[in-house]
Amino acid sequence: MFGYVLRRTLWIVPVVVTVAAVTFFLMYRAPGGPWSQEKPLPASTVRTLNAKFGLDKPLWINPEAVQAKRDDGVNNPLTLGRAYLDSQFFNYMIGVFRFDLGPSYASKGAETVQSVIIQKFPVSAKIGLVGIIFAIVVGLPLGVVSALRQNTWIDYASLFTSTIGVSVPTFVSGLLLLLFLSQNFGVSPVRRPEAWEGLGRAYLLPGIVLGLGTMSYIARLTRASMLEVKRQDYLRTARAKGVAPQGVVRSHMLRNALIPIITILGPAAADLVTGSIIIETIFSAPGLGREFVDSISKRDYSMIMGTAIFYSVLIAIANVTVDLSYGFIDPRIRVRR
Amino acid sequence: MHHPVYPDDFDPQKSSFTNEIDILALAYEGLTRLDENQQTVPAAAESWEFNEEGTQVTFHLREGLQYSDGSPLTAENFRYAVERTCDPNTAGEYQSILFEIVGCAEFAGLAGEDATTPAAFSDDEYEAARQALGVRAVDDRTLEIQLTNPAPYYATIAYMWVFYPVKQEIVEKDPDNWWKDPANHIGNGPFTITGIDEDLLITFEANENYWGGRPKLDGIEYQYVDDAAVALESYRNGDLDIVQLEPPQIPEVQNDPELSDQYLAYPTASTYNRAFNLTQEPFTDKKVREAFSYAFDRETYCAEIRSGDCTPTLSWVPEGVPGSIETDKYGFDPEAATQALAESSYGGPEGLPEIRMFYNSDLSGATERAEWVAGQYRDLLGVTITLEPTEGTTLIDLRKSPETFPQMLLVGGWIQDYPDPQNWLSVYWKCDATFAQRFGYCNEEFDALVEQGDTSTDPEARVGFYEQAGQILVDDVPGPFLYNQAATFVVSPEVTGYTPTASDVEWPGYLGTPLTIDVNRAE
Repeated sequence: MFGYVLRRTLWIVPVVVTVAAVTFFLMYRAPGGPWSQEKPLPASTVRTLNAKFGLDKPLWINPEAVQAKRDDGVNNPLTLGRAYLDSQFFNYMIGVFRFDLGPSYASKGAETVQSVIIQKFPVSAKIGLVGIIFAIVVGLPLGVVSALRQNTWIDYASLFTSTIGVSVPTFVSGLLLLLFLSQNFGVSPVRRPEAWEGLGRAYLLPGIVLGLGTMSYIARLTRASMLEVKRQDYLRTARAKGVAPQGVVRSHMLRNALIPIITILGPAAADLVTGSIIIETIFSAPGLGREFVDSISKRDYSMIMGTAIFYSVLIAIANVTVDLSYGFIDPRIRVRR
Repeated sequence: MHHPVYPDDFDPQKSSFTNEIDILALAYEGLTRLDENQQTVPAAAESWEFNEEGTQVTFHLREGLQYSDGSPLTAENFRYAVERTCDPNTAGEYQSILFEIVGCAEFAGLAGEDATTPAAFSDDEYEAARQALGVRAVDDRTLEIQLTNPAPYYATIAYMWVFYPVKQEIVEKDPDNWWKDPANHIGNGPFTITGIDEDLLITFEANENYWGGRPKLDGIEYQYVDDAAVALESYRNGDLDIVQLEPPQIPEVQNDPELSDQYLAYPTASTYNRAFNLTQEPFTDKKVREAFSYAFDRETYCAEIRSGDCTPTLSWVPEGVPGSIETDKYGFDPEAATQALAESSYGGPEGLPEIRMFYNSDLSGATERAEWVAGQYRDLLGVTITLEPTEGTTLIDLRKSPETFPQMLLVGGWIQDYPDPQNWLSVYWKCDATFAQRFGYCNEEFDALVEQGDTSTDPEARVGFYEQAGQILVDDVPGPFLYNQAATFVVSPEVTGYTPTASDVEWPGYLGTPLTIDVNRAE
């Protein structure tokens, strides 16, 4: 079991490196750079900035630096190897493995990418957390009830809610909710900075709006999965044996019906934690999602790389966790030793 | 006060965007400032004079100037601001605005122009270039600046943020990061920064030590709200007093019985034009350019397509800036348009090559605007235009040289740095100007006139030269002039005592009237 966990975890490394390389490649394919602006900077200014942030190095490999070292009489293969990799990509990746994601160019180096992530990610994570809790706490019972009361008004009401939850985009539902509360209950649409500290009430609305889609999805999936399980032979057996109806639902139906839900829960959790960009804008939340989108249009290279890598690690971990959790829920999927 | 976008940095010698400047402009002040008529008036300096050739300007500071913490403010602090701007290690975005100060371009240029070899300069070279800089604090109250050429507009440039006297001992402790801590913003402006909550809120308090007296307001808050609809709702809720509007919101506000009275719009010092690449067919032909100018209905475009957030114009220098001219040449006239195209070397719409119009697709509503414009040219000229939606930074990159400059841009334009015609005409349209070179404009007659304007020390004669130059620009139709962008707000009736100027993009009156703006809360 331990070997399996280790193997699965180590797989994250090549995934992240691939993501980094692809991001890096695409990023440099986009025209312009971090210093592109309407009123152009003088060449000398651009030069200073490039030198300051190592953007004057080659992109992938640096054979010239090797030649320069050789000319200086250096023959140590380690030094030469490092010089060969003295490029923007490898310097960045070496930094990443030291947990250094580089300076943010948009702030001219006043901030580092990891400090921005440390500062902003908790807000996104808390919104996502509220969202996922809401999705489970509301979605799961809703699905169970509609499966047990199939084709009654409860089932139809749940279908109606879920359809709306899935199909109305967050920028509509978020804005509507905000305007509704502001106009009818005088709730201020913009929060004071203090409100975002801790796990304050400020997180309730954005969390719910964010979780709405996932909630609906979970409700529908639970219902379908419950209905499928309902027709299984072992359920008939359990009932025939005289197990109490609650017991049937809890230990036989729900437990088996949970497998597909767990499968989507991992990616959904990662999705919610990383996917609150629009929500953050509407609710003026100081989260990481906005930072990520902004960094792309600003060509803030290290910020793009840093957040992309950070997100890919999160998603990879979520997937691994899901894979491992199957074993605890369904003994049949337990991995070979 | 509402702001849509939180700035990347607000360090006087590095900043360039209006959302950065309007933070600094409250907390700091240059040697001069702009009043409510955009005139250059005394600020930290009570007077200044040029030598006869106009190549040296001497500023005389007020007596007893103090920073917000009560420490003395002297000419040396302003000298440091200039030195820090020119310093190659600062590499600020407005460095080049001071390149006419003796030694500034050389000091900044130590890093070299060629981006392929490593930037390297020795400490000695650095120190020599620093010493050679033509700025000197003669005594505590006298600052002397040597210029490479006569530049009578330098008193106006001295209002700019690069002149804001940051404290050397604070900045040098942490040159990149100091501005993030409100305690480090010890300034000389009417307010002081007391709180910085990144992405959310910046708070200011009145500066008791300001030379012009204490401002009427006890404090100001800048609230950062990205989503325009949310900001407007917050305004309705009474949480914000001034909100910047986006064009799609304007009709909503104007049709609202209550809000329509609180709507405020005024033209800003920015001119937009339909930019052509003058090195590419068919816009090498002046008659074609004329046709494209005649065939565009500026009135309808501003009133309906842009919901009134712009004012049509047919010239380059906007009204209110010295050197602006009135003209009706090449205004909307469908018949003249067809005729001009018929007279061109292409003989009519059939003879034209393919025309591609680029626009920034990041801006909301840009596609609708581009389609409307292309529709005008199709209906009035019979020309089919291919639309090229392009991501913002990509577009900036394309505009780097005449080889890649788009054949035709939905809009190009200029936003003023300082209200002097030199900034409008010489900086943009001279043959050797970065901008003119990019799309290939060069007219020697124009150059001769603006050079006379740039170097003359007689204010009236200067304006005369610039007016003539501006007329040449109209006659040449390098890219049809279209409109001046308006700033649009809703302002609570409780706010009083402010006068907006064309330079106030972020909120009405931040440059001219920060002392008198006030709020009378109706309880």
